[in-house]
Amino acid sequence: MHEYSVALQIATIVKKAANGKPVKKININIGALSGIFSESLLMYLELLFLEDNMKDIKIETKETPAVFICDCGNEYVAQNLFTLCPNCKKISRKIKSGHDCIVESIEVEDGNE
Amino acid sequence: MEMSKVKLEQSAYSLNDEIAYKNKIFFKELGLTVFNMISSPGSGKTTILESLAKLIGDKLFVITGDIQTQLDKDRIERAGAKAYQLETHGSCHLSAKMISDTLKKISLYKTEYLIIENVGNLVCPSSFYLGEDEKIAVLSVTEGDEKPIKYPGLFIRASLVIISKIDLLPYVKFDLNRAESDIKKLKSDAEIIKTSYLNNDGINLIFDYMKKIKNKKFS
Repeated sequence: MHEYSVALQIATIVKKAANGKPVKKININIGALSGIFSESLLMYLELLFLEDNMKDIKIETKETPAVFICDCGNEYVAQNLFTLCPNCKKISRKIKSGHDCIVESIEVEDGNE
Repeated sequence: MEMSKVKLEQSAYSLNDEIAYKNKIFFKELGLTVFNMISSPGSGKTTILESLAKLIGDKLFVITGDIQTQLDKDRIERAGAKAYQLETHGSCHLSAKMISDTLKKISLYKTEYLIIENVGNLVCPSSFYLGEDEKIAVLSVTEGDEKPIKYPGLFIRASLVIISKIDLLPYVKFDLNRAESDIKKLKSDAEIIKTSYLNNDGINLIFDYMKKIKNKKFS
């Protein structure tokens, strides 16, 4: 449900970064543990950009894996929060990545032909 | 038409987080210790807050978030603490901006502890940082012992988990050992306090935890 709030923030970030230039593409990385459902996010983004008359934007999302750093020092890709460290077989970890939703880049028209 | 790529690598939560960090600075300047209390509807958050209000009095301020009504604010004020009701009119979680806007409307004179009672929801609130010192999760025994593993996003972030309504344990299918074990798997240093409204169990322990966080913040 909070995909709407996230979409609002993404739209603001994109418009600010575009600095008045037409935006043609947005690349978004959705972390495997972010709890964000990409279909819902896309739906809200498309609605928001339609309101702003930016309906030709291509929005590409990519799921990024969860990477944990175990207390034993091992770094590993986790399928979920209960994935054991392959080195010490324990769950005692910090999340290095995969819990966030990142606006990776945008593509804009420069206005030069 | 020429195109160019603008690299951003910016979190979708960065705008919220920017405001949240300003809230955090404001809280510290005022000497406040702040908690973001999150749970599903009906877990007993407001009842716990009423009990804390009776214990702590007007050194406690509660910002209580609901879709609608002022009912929770009235309960907490009758119990002795100060309170402000945030009606979200549809939003499923509180945001840093909602808190920032609220801070302009309330007086925190004499307040030492601020608890933000988030909208009843086990999913969305855990992703939106409000500027708090710690997140507190509330889980009632009537909800089932599998809740922590079904909703890990909250339990991996909560430094205190309150298991409420434990006086109902004889009447519900809730494996306390399993719930506690799963909570510790998600966050090994999470504290767990069990509460019962009928016996007033656990409220003093919750206040001890709050005082510990305050001492750690301001020592």
